[in-house]
Amino acid sequence: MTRRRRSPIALVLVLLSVAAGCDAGPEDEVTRITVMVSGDPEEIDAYRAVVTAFERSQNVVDAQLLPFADRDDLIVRLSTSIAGGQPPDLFLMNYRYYAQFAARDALEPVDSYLRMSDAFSAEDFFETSMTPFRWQGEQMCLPQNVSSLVVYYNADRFVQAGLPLPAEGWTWDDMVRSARALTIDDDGDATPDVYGLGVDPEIIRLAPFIWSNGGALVDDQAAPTRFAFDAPALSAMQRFLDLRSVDRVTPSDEEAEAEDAESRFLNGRLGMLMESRRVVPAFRTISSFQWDVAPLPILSEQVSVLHADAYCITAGSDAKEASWRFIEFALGPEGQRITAEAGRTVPSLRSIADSDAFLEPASPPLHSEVFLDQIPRLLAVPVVSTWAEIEDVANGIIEEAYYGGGRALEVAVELTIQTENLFARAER
Amino acid sequence: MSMPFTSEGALGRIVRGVPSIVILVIFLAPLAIVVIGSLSPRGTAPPLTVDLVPEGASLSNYSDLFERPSFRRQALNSLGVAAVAVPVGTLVASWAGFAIARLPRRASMFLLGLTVVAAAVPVTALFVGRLVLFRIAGVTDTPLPLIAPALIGVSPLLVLLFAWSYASIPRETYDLAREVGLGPLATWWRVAMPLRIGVAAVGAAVAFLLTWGNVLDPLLFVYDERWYTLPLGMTSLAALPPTDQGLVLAAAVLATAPVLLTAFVVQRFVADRTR
Repeated sequence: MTRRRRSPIALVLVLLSVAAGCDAGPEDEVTRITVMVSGDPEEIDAYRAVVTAFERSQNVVDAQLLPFADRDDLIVRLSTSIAGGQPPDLFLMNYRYYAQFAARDALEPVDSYLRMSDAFSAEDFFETSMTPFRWQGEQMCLPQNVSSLVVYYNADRFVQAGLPLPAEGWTWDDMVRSARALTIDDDGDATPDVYGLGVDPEIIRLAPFIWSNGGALVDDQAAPTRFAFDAPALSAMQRFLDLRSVDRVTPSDEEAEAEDAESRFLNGRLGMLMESRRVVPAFRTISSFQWDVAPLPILSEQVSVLHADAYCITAGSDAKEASWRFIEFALGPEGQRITAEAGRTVPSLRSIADSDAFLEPASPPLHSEVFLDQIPRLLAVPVVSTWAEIEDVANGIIEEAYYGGGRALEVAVELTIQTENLFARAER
Repeated sequence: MSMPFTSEGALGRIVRGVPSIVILVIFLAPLAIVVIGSLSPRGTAPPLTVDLVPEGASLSNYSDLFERPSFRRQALNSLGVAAVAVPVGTLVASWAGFAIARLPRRASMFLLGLTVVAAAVPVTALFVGRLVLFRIAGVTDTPLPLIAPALIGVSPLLVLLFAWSYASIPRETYDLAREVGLGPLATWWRVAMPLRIGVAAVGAAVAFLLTWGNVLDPLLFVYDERWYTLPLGMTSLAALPPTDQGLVLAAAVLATAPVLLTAFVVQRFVADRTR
């Protein structure tokens, strides 16, 4: 008589099932939705908290979070799943990248849901964050945040150097002067140990200074067909490029590769850093010095660039009503309070942005209202279906010129030529 | 004839050993940096230099990791997937390689060519097709998409490795097996496999490395976070702020340990059989 043996493969599958927790209830009573998001673990934890609170608030929709650490990973996954006929119900994406999906008719417009909603109306959100998510006259996604580029500064270093703290109305020249004073070579080896400024040489960082100088980025902001850098734009671009090659106030290419600007700031070896709200949770761990935020310095007028993410429902979703229900919760007061308290986002809902949930008087930065003051002055980069590719190409060219001492005119010509085809096949 | 222990012999051994030591140092140095970095406490800015013992060094990052349910689950998922995919994948690759080696020359060359073409196809070209297959099969909410590559031998390169290995066994050996009445399966099991057990071990190790480090399949084909594996979890930890660098490095040490252990065990196994 032979004894029947259990298959080891079956055993492992059983163990895997146990490990994953087979605690799902009867699934036919609830609608299950998948929510795709990307972000660092703290941000993901905030989204997870929103999902948990949402599930506690009702019992007919089961939201499943599908988190990715990297935005590019999310885009690859989203593209594959849409092409493969199994898209998520919802995803969270920056306005610079969603248009490629809108152009493929992969998104469900939310206007009708918004009109019928009891949770909020379009007027409850900052218009600045709503506009970029309108695609061919329809509101495609609803924004969850309205962040912007600001200057983080090491207040202790400013005080030690006897410099005035950055504040509303400070100029580009003020910034460069301060950055020079804060760039210090402690050991005399001709390599600064502390740099005055950290900024990524990217189009999203350069754009606000072009606008601040009264320049244009593209030929037509609503329907761009090419980069069109005019004289003020070229002047602003040259000043930006000079930060490394002439002013020598930012780390070299090698130094930036060895240690990113965020880490330098944390180490206390960077006077100022241009970043969005993204870095606040990490900077709140700083205990060795005081830091705060200030608006971007101006060239001619006070401007910054919009950083906003929004929830989008996919056209292929089988649970659009349930997805909308999640959006109502996540972007309503309770959901926005949860994400605001994580410190990472500037809420798109006016009532929460103006509340202590965001301003958090007890936690740095002391002047969180800087983010709110910027909102009326925010401009967005063009929303076209190929913008992600345009950014990729542009960032490579700008980075090379920034570290290689390039001239603005050459960069402008190169940018225009290299992105010509991308603009030509863009839908807008 | 073995070389007597003379000063010339000792010198020769030392000279021969130097490249090994250099290579060892080159490969171990990054690992040492990762291990040292993993001891840095959380909440502190990344150190500017690599100290042998970082300030405030402790194993707290490791305990933090094991306290994270997501990390434990991802590690368990990776182990589970490897436990199924490695033996199945090695077996399939071994069978496929054996078949290629033993088929008539024309069929063998055709299949070899097909395998080489399969190895040359960019993985990105197959993403959508594979997802459609998994969707039709209704397995996107399960770990089966992660195990599926085992059904084609994990990688065409593994099939080629086995095919090359079995083809190098003298034809007379196979003829003898046939004369004593062994069928194809018995010949593979009792003749070819024992003669190339070292290759099987290396093949299993390669299958493990490919399965353990597979980040694309869970990224693209898993629709339930509960089935995320360690490589995907690692990408999530890598997005932590610089103040949590120690935690990221501790996860890297834990994710690397099974790979090193596998390489060590297989190396000893092969070395014992080639002495």
